[in-house]
Amino acid sequence: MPGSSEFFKRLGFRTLFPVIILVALVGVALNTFVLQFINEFEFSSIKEDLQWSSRFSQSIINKHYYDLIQLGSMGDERRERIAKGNALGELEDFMRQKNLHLVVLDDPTDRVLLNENIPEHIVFGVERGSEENVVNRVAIGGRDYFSYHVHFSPWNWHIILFQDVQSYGALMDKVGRAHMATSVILVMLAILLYWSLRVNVSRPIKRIISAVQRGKPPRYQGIREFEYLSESIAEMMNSLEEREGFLANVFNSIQDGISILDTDMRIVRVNRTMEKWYEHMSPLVGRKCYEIYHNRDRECDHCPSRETLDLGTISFGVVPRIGPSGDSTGWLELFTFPMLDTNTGQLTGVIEYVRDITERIRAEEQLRDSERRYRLLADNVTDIIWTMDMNLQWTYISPSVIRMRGYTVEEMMTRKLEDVVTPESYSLARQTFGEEIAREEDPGADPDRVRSLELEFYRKDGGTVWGEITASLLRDENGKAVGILGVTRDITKRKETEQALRESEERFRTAFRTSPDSININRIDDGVYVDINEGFTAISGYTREDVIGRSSLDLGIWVNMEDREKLVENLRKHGKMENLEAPFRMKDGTVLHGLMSAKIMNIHGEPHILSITRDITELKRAQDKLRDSLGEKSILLKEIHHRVKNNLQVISGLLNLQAHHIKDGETREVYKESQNRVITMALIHEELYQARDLAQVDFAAYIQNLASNLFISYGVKQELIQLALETEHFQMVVDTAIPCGLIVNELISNSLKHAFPDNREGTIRVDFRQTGDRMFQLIVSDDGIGLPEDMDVRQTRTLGLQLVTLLIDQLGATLEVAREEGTEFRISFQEYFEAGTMLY
Amino acid sequence: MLKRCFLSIFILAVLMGGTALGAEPVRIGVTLGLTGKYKQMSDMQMKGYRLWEGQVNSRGGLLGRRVEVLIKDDESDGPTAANLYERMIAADKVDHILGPYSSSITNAILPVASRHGYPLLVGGASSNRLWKQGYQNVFGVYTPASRYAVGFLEMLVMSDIGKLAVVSADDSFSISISEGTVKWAGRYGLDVALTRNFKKGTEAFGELVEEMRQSGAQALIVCGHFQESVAVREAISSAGWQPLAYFASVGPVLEDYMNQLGELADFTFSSSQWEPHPDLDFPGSKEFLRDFEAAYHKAPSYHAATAFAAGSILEKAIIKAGTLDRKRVSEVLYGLDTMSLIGRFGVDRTGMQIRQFPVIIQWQKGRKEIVWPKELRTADPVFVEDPDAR
Repeated sequence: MPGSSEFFKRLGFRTLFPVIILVALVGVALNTFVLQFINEFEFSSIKEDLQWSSRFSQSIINKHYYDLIQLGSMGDERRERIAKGNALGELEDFMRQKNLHLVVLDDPTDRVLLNENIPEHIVFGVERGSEENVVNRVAIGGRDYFSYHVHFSPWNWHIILFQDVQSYGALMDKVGRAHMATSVILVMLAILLYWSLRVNVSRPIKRIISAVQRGKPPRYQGIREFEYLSESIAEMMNSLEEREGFLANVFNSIQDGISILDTDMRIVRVNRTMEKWYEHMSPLVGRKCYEIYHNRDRECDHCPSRETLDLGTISFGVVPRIGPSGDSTGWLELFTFPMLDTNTGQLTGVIEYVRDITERIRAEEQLRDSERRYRLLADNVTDIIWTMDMNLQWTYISPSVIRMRGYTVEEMMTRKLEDVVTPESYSLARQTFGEEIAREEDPGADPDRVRSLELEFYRKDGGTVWGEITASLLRDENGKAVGILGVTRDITKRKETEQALRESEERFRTAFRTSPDSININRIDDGVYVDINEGFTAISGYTREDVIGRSSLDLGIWVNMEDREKLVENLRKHGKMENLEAPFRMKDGTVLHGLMSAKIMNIHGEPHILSITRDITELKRAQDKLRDSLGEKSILLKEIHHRVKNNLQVISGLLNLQAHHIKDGETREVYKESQNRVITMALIHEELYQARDLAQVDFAAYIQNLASNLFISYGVKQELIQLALETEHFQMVVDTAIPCGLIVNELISNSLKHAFPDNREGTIRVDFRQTGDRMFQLIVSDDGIGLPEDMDVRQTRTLGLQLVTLLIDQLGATLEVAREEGTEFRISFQEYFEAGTMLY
Repeated sequence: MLKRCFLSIFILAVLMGGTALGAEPVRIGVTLGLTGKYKQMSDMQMKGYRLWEGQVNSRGGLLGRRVEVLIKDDESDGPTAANLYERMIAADKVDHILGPYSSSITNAILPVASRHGYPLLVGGASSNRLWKQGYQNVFGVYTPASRYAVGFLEMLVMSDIGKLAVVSADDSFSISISEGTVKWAGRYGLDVALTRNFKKGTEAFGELVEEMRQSGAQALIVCGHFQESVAVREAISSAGWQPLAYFASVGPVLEDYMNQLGELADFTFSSSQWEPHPDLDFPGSKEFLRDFEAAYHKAPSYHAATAFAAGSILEKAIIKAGTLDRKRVSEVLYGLDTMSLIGRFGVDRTGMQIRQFPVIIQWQKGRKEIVWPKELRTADPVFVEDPDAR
């Protein structure tokens, strides 16, 4: 490419050539225009001058005429003469000012009132021969004039204006000469231009074209501009090959397939992508498209390329992509464009633009599957899913409608909204829909807003069912509402529950109102009464007006403030207080005892205390009396226990005395055992009369005394046999304690007698513990010689073990015997209450 | 400090004053017939020019330069005036010129002014001929002569006086009056029974008066200057004839007319370009009258007023042009529309005055009264029918 300075040097031809042409054309146009303009000026300006002057002349005369009228001098011949004279004077001034010839003729007398240099025959000729108010042309004394003739009828004056046009004629002569000179110059310029073009343009162009026609880059030398043209063409021809290469690169770089066919459906050219897709069919060029792309021996039935060839229009289709095995491996989107000859416009082939849409097709199938699944979900949910258009016509209803309403989907789709809901519900639905449509006008409205409402629907069986509707607006891609999406849930049961709740509340209100107990509700913040029932007024003597808005402290109801603090403490810790027994002061000052239960509850979101207080004054009095009576009975019972224990000790003493007289050791041993059993029972009574509770004994203390007594009774040496007691302290009812004591007595006695022969050392262990709610386990064991192998505890004939078995059954207990290291009796039982079943 | 301030102001004043006083004055040349047949009117004109010269210099001169009006005596002779103007332009290097008195002398200097490109404000002439010869830059200060008697003719119409005689000296000014009068008489429907011209300088008018009386004219119009107006009046009286109305141009507006004729002056009509009149209160009119009487101890005639007006109009044109350049001043004068003490100023494309108008005066009992136009009358016109009524 030439440098910029070279470029501007060569600009000469390209700039000058059009400038010369333009100047020539403008010159011709200007010349014509000036002539036209002068001609126009000649006529129009003179005419306009004359017309304007005539109007002004008339206005001068008019002014004087109207002065007469205004002065009231019409008919005054003297003043009229003066007015006419003055008008003529002014016309004369005007004529001189405008360089006009102005003639005024008095029509009745044919007298010339005003004239200067215009021959009278011409004046009269114009006056008689010329049309009024029109420009006429007259020759006066060898000069041309334009004349203009007007008539002022009130005074019957003819005013004729003459304009000398000779001065314009001189101008016209000058213009004519300029026109001639310009025309000659233009003709000369045109000839010069023609010669110049022939020499400087036509010949060089022929030389350049000649070279190009021979297919060679031109090499012109001569005129600078054509040198530049020659070099440019040469550069273009050289760069044409480079462009072809560039276009081929672009063609092959396109990732979609491009295939060019001739009119016989033969492949002319393909890009790399097509070659890659169909490399198994290579080579492609020169073969029929359907053989390569569709593995066919004839054209396809609906071929877009054929349509383009036949109709010359763009066509489109989706075709299978055939793989090496001959099977379809995917889908191709095919656009076909007509390929036209740029010169003739004739169809020369087809451009096939091919895009692989296999992935898109698969994605669309997945989308359809997804839609199917969602529809399946919608079809199977319990709630009814539905859509409506903006005219409230159903567009979809899920099949669950039949469960809730008894109608099939098809039946529902044909029914209008007003036919499927009760009139009240239809009115509510229309109102809600109207509100939402109105909110659509608000640009700040949430487009995803959801509205809920409860409607009562007709069932097919004639009943009704309540449904909770949750609905939102469906929108198109522009956000415009095009429908409604809703879910209807059956809330009939909830409605029934709510009804039941309302009824329950009603019942509660009735109970509250009519309860004989005092019931009051106080606000927790300040303790004031917000409601009381009739029981409160009946018991306390206060009226409703006395207490509402006041607190219990205001009223002085609490006798002992500790009770109130206790109530407050429990409410704070546990949220409730049960059975608080406290004295309360009534309106008349009397003190009544009440049993109060209270609980914190929320009323309208605010915490309150609901207190129910029963008047137990009479009960209290009865209890006091009973307590007094029981005290007396307790003393009496203790005395009985004391006397029984003393009597049993007496029996034990008698048995001891009698045993001393028995020689037979075995018999004496029997006596001794009986004595121990009596003492065992006496110890129970001793514990009972010493205890505060006459029905229960401290079982640990009891066992301790019992074991000590047995060790003493059998004369056990402390250094040989140890007693290990592990007993928890707890109270046991007498009904259980006595059999347990007797079992312990028998088992310890058995161990002392048999487990440690020959001064064998050992330990007797007693464990008693609670294993559950009222469940106990008693273990009596020793590390002595153990029971004989063949001894069955339940089948033994010894009195002691028989007694143990009997007592275990009595307690409903289980017995386990272990013999690994010594002997262990494990007894499990439940505390026994049944009255009147004691052994004695 | 105060002393230094005063000193600075004094120096500045001296420097500024020095500029006006020290610079070359604006020289304005004019000739007048200070001797010869036009000496009365020329004397009035001279006084008018001098009065204006004094006033313009008291206002600071023109464009900051003092004004000097160079007045030379042309002896009431045209060629003399032409030579003087030639000399003033070539030798005295006057910046501007003003017109001489009388139309004939003005006509004589037109070629000189035109040749040197000097605009000419004509303050002492009104012959229509001055504007019909194609000279450029000639500006009339007051009504052209052809309109002098128009007001008088209107009064004749209104007084039912239908026949008149018009006689005129043969100078161009007088002939312009005569031609205009005849033309306007025709327009007003008056009967011009006689028109005669007589040689300028004629002193015996007995025959002419007799001829007029024989024509049956009721009114007599004499177109001329001071001498003719007086001589014809005396001839009429000598002939024992009393026309209903006697009009003479120029002469009767001068006090000398009354002084010379005495009672004979009574009832004579004339046209005046300016008269001291309360309703004729154009700008500077009262001041002019006051200053003139103070300076010269006599009443000014319209000739003095028109001379003063010519100076004033030239002053306004130069100020508006902002330069003494004569071409530029000419352009301004063509478009100038202003007021002077004699009324409105404005010319047509030939330079003829078209906006100023004269009043008609009549001597009544030794006093000059304005009788036309009606709006400015100081007395009703008197047409004498019975000689005894005098």
